[in-house]
Amino acid sequence: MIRRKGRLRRQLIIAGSASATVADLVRGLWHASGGRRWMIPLVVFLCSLGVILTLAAGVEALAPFIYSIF
Amino acid sequence: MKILGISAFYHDAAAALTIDGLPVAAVQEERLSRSKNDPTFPMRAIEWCLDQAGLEPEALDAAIFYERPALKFDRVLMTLLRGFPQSWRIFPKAMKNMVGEKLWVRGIVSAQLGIPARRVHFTDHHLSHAAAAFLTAPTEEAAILTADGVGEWATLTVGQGSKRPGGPVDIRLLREVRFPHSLGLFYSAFTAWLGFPVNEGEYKVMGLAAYGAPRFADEVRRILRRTPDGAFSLDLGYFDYHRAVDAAYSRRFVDLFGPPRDRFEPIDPGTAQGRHYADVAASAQRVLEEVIVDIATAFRKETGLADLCLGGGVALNGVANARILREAGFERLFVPSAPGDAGCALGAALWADRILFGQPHRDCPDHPFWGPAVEPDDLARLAAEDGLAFERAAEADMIDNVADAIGRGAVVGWMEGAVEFGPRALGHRSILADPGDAAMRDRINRDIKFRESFRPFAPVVPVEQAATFFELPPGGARLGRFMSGVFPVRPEWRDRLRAVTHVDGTARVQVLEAAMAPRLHRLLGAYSRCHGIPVLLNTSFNIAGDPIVTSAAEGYSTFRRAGMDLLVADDVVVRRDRARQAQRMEVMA
Amino acid sequence: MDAHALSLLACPRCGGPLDDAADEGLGCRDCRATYAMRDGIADLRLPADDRTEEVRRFYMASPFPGYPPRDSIDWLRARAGRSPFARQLDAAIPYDARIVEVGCGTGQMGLYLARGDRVVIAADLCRASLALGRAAAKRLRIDQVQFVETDIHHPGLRAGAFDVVYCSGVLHHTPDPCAAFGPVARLARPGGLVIIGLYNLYARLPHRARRLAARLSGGRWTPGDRVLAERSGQADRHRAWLRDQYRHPEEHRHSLAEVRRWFAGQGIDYIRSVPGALVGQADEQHALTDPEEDGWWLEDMLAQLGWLPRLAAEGGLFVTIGRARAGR
Repeated sequence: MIRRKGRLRRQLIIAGSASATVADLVRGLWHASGGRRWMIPLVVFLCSLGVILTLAAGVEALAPFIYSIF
Repeated sequence: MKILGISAFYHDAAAALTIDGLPVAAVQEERLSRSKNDPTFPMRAIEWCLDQAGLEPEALDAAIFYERPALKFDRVLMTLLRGFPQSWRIFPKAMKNMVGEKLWVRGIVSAQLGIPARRVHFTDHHLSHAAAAFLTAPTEEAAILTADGVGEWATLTVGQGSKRPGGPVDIRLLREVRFPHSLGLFYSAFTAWLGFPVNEGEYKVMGLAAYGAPRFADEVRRILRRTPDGAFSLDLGYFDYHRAVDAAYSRRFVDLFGPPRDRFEPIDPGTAQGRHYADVAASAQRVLEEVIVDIATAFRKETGLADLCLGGGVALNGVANARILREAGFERLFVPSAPGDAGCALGAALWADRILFGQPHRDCPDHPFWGPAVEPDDLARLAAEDGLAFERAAEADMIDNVADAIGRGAVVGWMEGAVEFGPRALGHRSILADPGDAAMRDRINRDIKFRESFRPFAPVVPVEQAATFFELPPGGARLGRFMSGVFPVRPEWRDRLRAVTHVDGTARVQVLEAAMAPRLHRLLGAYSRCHGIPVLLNTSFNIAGDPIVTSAAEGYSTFRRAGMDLLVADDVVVRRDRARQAQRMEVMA
Repeated sequence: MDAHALSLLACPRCGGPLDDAADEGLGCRDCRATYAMRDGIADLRLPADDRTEEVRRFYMASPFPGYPPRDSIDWLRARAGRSPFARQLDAAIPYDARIVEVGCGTGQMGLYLARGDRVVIAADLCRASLALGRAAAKRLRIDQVQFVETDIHHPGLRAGAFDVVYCSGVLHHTPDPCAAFGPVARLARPGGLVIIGLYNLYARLPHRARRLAARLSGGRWTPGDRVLAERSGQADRHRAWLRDQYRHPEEHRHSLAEVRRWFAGQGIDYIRSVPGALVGQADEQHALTDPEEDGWWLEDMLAQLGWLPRLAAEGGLFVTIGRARAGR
């Protein structure tokens, strides 16, 4: 049985590991051939945005389709 | 070592657990969440795998994810930037999709399972495919070919592997074709144009192709060109998947092949328009076969190896597989039961064990039954609660009764032991019926499967008699083990096997070895004694739109809803009560 | 008419069984009244009060919800497939059930549920809607649905004969919904399911605000009406939704507590509601026939307030499911 963690704790762990993932990405681009170092700021920006989005995203309310089924 | 493999966030998530180098449990998330092709993080599948082995997550030595999200992110970003400015429209959507959940897999796995992040590992998408194909196959040295839509960058790889029990394992991917040139996406574009759902409807294209003639093969060859190095490239002017989220083909594609099919319009291969669609499908199928057969043939000459392991979603194309087997020169062709992304969960776990941690090889059991087992007692209880009679008969009697019922036109829900890992029902969660009765086929279609009329059902036959009914090339029986090949039905039997013979006289046959599913094998024997042929119609046990059933409760509810005649779970048999129904009608009248 | 379907109909005057007298239509075995069969649709409608007549004329002018220009059985199943509720409903109904859809409109739900050995009676007040439904049944080759023109207050349907009584989006358009619920509930056999869809007192609020905006802007501004936007390319269906949601002559709204009282009054055991009436619970983990745990009045209210954002786009309709008690 896996002990479920609260949402806040899960988010903290995800946020904590995110920096390592971003660092991986940046390292990859730094060493990449073909002069792609200029992409680093873009990647870092997008990733930070992504972390915030992921953490902020609640359960998306799906359309229930109870009345307008057809 | 205890290793958990995970595949998720694209299409059809799954989890697999290996202990000391052998698979212990593997299941697709959809079978437990009951949402078809469920791509979400496979929490239920992971939980079940761990429970099955009696493990706590802390006891895992490693969890391995089947691809590298960072590389995939790199690919998506590069593609968008290259496609600028046309791509700006899809930029927000693609980014939300990518930097949303997908990128933070390490954190998600670690947070959900409660294991340290350093125990979470990654492998390459196509290495997972290659491992799933090679490490589960009974061969010591083989060429490996993987092809699918796209993973990180690679869309097709060739490589080779060697292994022997107790020794080290070597898998090398030698060359790759990179995105956006992809056989999988090529085929998916035709799937979308033909109005079928991408990633799910590809097999419908294959089914439809049998009705057509490859009249447009030259046009398709213009789109999918061969390169001097033996690989291929796509003319990207005809495609849009690298520029748009919801379009696979471009305006030029439509100019070439005509307007796409409205997905709500039925296909009738009898009409001119229907034939046109069938011809385009046949042309795409033909060219796909040519390319992959050529690549396999060249690779056979290069390596001189006798065996080929095939992985990736393209390996679900049974017609192409059969052509590779016949024409490429390999003696044996191995396709795992789950060649698609779900199978990567098992592939990644095996790869981690053998390569990442350098453990010696052990031969995997050669069967697909790694999921939850059915509980016959549950079925007995459910039937009793509903007031339906159930029997618990000795096996021989039960099998004779079922064979007899099928002969008299019954549709049977057949559940036995553990669930199959992969998209096909291989005799543990199957609907079985008379293979020669066209009315039966129509009934299954009307009440259960809602299939388009142009798609046939598959037969199952014991390996001993397979060659009597089907024209199997050398190695064909092996390919038929997991229903991975489409072979001709012998002309003299086509009439007797009407419900399972496609319009072009072929069938996607499952060739059954007694050791794999002994009870089904005995049922085929019993059916043969009563009715002269040891062949049954075998289709997956689910109602259209649902995933294949897992538990006795799901089997029972499907049996009731679909109005099947008989439900078998191991040794428990439940019959549909026609008498009670008739009585109710009388009371009403 | 198919004998099984005929056995599920009844004389709207006296409730007696009907006989099929071919040319002369249907005749009541008890009171000898006769009813016409026109275009395959039984006419079992008795003259009604003015308000009911007005609703009937309203739907005659634009049958609801209507069919798109090109439909097919796959279209119908695909549409239902995207609704978890429709899938759960289908899963909750046995393959040989007798189903009545009271207020079927153009009959999609009945057609969707009609497979296997099920028999469906699709009843409505409005012949124009029924005619569309019957045409669709022919087109989609579904032969186990019988369409019946009848008034909910005097249904030409056999009481106590149905395994499933489905009545969604209908009662709140009758002059006295509680009174109209009685004859509907009595159609279910003991142990049969009663499924009622109504506008919710709370969840309808956003739509009422939207309707006000639409009225003030002369019908040009319908903020956030996803369904209307989706139908923008289909003139008939667009009009049907617009009229049904914005210009209906008769509309009531109901709370969950009210429906519970109706149920109790007719000997129906409450099973659950969709969306669920417990705070913070996902719907899809339960079958429609799994009894809900007991809530309490405050939780009921909070849950209904919670429906507000979820149901707003669709007009705030909720569904209550009950089971008819044995020996009512």
